[in-house]
Amino acid sequence: MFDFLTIDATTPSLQPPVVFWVGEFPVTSSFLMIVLVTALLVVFSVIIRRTLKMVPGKFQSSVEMLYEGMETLINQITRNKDVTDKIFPLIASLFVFVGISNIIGLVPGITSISWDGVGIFRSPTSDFNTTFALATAMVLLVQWVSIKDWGLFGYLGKFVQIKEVWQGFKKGIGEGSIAFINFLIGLLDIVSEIAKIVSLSMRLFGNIYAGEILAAIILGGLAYALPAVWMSMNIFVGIIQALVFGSLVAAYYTLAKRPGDNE
Amino acid sequence: MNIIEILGKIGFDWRMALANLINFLIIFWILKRFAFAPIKRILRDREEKIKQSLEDARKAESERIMAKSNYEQKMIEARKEAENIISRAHAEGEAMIKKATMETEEKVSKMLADARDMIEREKKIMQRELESKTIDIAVLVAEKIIKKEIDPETEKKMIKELIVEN
Repeated sequence: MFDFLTIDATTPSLQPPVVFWVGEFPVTSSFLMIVLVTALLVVFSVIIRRTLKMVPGKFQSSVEMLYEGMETLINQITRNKDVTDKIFPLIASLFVFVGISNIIGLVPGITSISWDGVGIFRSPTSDFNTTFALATAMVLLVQWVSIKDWGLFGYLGKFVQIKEVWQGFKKGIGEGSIAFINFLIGLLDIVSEIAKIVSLSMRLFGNIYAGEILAAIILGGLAYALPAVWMSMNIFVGIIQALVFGSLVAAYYTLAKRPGDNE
Repeated sequence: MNIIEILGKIGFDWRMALANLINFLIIFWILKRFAFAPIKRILRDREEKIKQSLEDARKAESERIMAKSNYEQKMIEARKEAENIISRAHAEGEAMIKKATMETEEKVSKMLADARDMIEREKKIMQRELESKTIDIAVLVAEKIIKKEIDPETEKKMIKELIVEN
């Protein structure tokens, strides 16, 4: 009786559908969406490059405001102008890419474009492959920076604090015990480094994927008005998640550097 | 069951992951090179320009103040100089007047002296003429009184003596 109020939306599958194969390589819908995002950003960059003026117009003012907002945010995390300058392009790219990826799926109709029965566009961040690859790359980068900063032995020494235990017990039982606890905490830090990858990738993937599933479920329940609320929530969540992802990478980077090292 | 298989359960495929990562790196490169760098440049340029403009304005202001004080200084100097010139002119004028007055006085006194000389000389000539005329008259008068001719030479001598005596 009230069938017209519901739409049978298929909940998105965990793995993004493969649209077509190029040899052995599966071209997925999220991959195509990244290509689309890339194309959009290329156009955007070209426009910026062409229209940059000393006296900014409305468009340029907004872009500059965005730029300076990101710079301020990163600077609040690093608290060091040089570090900010160094990592700004990477973190800002994460903000922009993750942010656009999160909300581009909400553009009406874009996920409905299909070819051969398969939707060809899907939010890149609702694909675990993207978030996991990004998180892994970022955490590996942080490790690399840490090794470069502390030296290989300094880096390993942060996790395996044998030397400190030895020196602690030479001083006395009390200090030795504290050093032993620190040694165990150091070992746990190895886990926490791996946990960084998991938490970064899972948080982003979970938020966006869950958002899409819930959107489909709500469509199945009530196809009018209610999804609009949920969609606008998703815009908010998408931007927040992009900021969280980028900020966390910036924070990991800052923590990995030797304290007081104003490189 | 290895880790790749576990991850595979939640939709992980390293080929897709790699492809997506490479795509992100391309985006990173594009944004860095064509968006962030130019924006950064123009922001810094503008900051630089504003700083420069403020600096220039400050410089111009101080230059203006300096020029004003210079101008005032020059005005004061010019006024002083003008006063100098005027007072010098006054002094020169006075000196000239003095000189002219002196010269005039000199000339006048010389003229007066000349005139006096001349008068003196005329006086003497007239005296002499008067003398001779008086003598003639006296002779004539005497002649008439005594009705007796005397030698004119003696007569003149006598009269002269008379005059000198008187």
